[in-house]
Amino acid sequence: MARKRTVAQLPFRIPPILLEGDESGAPTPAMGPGQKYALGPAAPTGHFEIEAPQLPEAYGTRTLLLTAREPHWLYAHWDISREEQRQYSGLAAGQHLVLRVYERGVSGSPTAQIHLHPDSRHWSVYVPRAETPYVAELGYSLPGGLWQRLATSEVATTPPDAVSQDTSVRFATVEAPAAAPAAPIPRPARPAPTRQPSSEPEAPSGPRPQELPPSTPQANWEPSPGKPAPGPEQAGVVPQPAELLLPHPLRVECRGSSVEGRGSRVEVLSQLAEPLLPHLEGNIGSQAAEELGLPSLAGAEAGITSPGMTAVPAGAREEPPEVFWFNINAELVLYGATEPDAQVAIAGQPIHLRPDGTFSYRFALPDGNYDLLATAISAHDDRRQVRLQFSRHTD
Amino acid sequence: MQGYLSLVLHAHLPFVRHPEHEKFLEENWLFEAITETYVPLLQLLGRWQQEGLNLRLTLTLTPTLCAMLQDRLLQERYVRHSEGLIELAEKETHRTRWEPAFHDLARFYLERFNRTREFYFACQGGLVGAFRAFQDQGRIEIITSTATHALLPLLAAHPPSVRAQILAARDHYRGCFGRDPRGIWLPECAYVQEVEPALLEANLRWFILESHGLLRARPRPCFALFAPILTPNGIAVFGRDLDSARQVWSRQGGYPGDPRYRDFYRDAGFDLDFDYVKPHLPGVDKRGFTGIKYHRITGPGPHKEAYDRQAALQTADAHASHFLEARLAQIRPLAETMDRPPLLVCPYDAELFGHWWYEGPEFLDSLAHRACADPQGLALITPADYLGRHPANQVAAPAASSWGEGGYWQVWLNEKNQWLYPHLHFAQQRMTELARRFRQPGPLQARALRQAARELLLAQASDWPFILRTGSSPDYARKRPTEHLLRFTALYDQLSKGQLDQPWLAQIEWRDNLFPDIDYRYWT
Repeated sequence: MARKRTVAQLPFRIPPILLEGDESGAPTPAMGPGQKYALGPAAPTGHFEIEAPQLPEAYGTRTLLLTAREPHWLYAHWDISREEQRQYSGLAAGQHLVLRVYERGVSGSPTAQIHLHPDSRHWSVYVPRAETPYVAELGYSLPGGLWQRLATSEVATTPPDAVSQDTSVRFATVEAPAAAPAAPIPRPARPAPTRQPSSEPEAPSGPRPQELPPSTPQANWEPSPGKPAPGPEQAGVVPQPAELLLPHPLRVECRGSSVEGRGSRVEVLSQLAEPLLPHLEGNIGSQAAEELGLPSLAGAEAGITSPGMTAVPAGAREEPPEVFWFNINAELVLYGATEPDAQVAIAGQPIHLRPDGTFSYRFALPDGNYDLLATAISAHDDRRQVRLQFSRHTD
Repeated sequence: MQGYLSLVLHAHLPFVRHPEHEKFLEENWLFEAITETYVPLLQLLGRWQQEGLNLRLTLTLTPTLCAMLQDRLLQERYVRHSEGLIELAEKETHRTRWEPAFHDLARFYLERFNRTREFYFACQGGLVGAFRAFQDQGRIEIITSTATHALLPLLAAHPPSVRAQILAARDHYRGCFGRDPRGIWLPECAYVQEVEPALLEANLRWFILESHGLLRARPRPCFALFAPILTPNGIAVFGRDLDSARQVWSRQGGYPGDPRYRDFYRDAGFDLDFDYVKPHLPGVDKRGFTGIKYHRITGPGPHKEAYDRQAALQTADAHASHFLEARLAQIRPLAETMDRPPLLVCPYDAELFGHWWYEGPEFLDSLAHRACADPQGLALITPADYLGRHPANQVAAPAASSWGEGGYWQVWLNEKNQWLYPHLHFAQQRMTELARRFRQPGPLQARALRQAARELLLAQASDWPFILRTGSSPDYARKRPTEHLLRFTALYDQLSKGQLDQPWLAQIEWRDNLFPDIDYRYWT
């Protein structure tokens, strides 16, 4: 009996681009170190009014924009209104537009041909070669098979996806950038002692200032009301096209031959990159994906908690535990009023009065017995005091 | 000395200023960063100077961040914010009276917030000037970035926009620091060769790329990441070190995720009674961060223990020691092979230290002291210092790359944010059209042209597509570029028709007031 041959299963990997925009199934609780621009465990909403005007749907230029987003992905967008797109699609065999991508120039067979969804006005295209210029065409095929071009893009070159095989070495010397005026840095007479982690920077002493000084001219800016912008003719400078390079201020010398003459030393030096390459090839972006401050899974809803507990706060929303749970806490609020210029202390600690002489203070209340003395002294040295006694016990 | 270590801190925030609101939630990004990162960093620099530590640090201060730090309205709002923090901390010292662990923390925060406020007043609110002083004394090198942190590869199809972002940044740097910048932080370390002409025009001499930007250069760099290369145009390019990045940045297993460190998300603004904490919340009638946090990371689950400040500081010190030992172990075999001391370039977002990772400044402090205590180990220098010591470097063309997820531009061009780009494309073309058409504008036209330039720059900020991708404040990230593009389009239409709405122009000048002397001709 013939042995049943098993076909090796090729590992299937969904291209990450197909997963873009998908939210994760389970929200990740926000915890740990912070992230860039985080304003809370979840994104804030509804804290300002969104004004009505919207950006235009299209600008009517019928332009095709092409960007090389990664070594093997291009992004294309076309400036055609939905109405125009429907009209052109209606003329096409297949009733849709087509995006063609060519290597280096529009000639021969396209590297990729995308039959576009009738409502799409942008597309990401996979291309096989990195470090290659591509150009795209947007158009449609007429019923007879003729190609009708609507727009052609500028060239977009994909980044390289591998280290160069060119290991030649050429050195050059440039003027060093002008260093910052270097004040002589005194060397310590002996090595600095091992740091003890408990110290904090000293605060400046003196009375506490209440206001910033008057603003400097830089801080307070107003538009120049009547001063015209000098034209280039007035400044004596002819404007240069952006593409014309200004003379390079650096002095560049080449001394390639002396380096090539080092022979085996150059070979040894060129091996410095080798240990880094496996890490690099496997980890571009994946390390970055782990990093603080970079996009992560959507945050969880913030749990509204009660204060002051070392354990999970009361009311916190967590993953559903296996048993029914019930958290409760208690706080004490002391509030009162006196003459606005009186001095009030609770348990010996001065408190601030509101301008009308009222006050309100909260106290976390763990289990225990409490004896609290509140005192008030008027501006004429009249004194009043109140003793409050209470307790909390949790069963 | 076995090698060099370049610590590069990139301080950036998008321009967020809302004079039309009494209080605005997203302005809190600035206030939190001032309290937890920028003031602590200045305090560290001051202490290092007093102690005579022999080190130099590189710091980016982006134009938008500088503009906000120097803005009078935001300075006053920060003072109000810090006073609110002090008031809340004071109340907390009462509220936690019978909870010793939290009471100690409340007193810690009260003292800390008071010191921060006093420091801010000692600088008279001029944090940019304070950083400038350290540069003038040779303690740090401040580098620039693009005007509004635009991702240059996505602007590269319109060279005037690349040029304007870079030259406007250079001009702003001159105003802040009294000199020209020599280094630039390319936003997100995003690079394509097409950005170099503008860098040359601004006389910018060096920048940093993600590791594969250097390792995939052509020809292959013979020193890998451990020395810079020179582009064929003569600009020096440094590569981010992989190992040091992972140890600090990684959410899984990196230092900031240690369970003894303070948990960023477990904030009193979400824990305490709403009516009690409401006056101190960053937004109006919505919970948010206050900056008072009582818990440590503890573990992967929702249970959080009380934050132990001393244990956290000891951990930061231990991590600094570990980091330094790891770098020395990394350097030693390289030093034997290379004909010059190897260089490790370690760039991080500045806000990591103190804001996202509360103990980050203490980590830096310990690292600085340990490194300086070992003259035979690593010298802490700037990339420019390195070029001064080693001006001869290999010529190679770097590879297009970024330090974003995926290594290219996916973070800023995907399903969540791709809608922006066609609008930016056409606005950019229109700006060039305006710049070429109005060679000799009248006073009102000149104002409108400058404001159009500001609105376009603000729309181009990479922060908006980033936030749309991360989802941290998507409504705001959608609103901002939309508003700027609509204002730009209105200015374009008004200039084209010769019908400028002066009161409306004055209003948007008041709202979007950065770069007062922007030169719209950069878009020519």
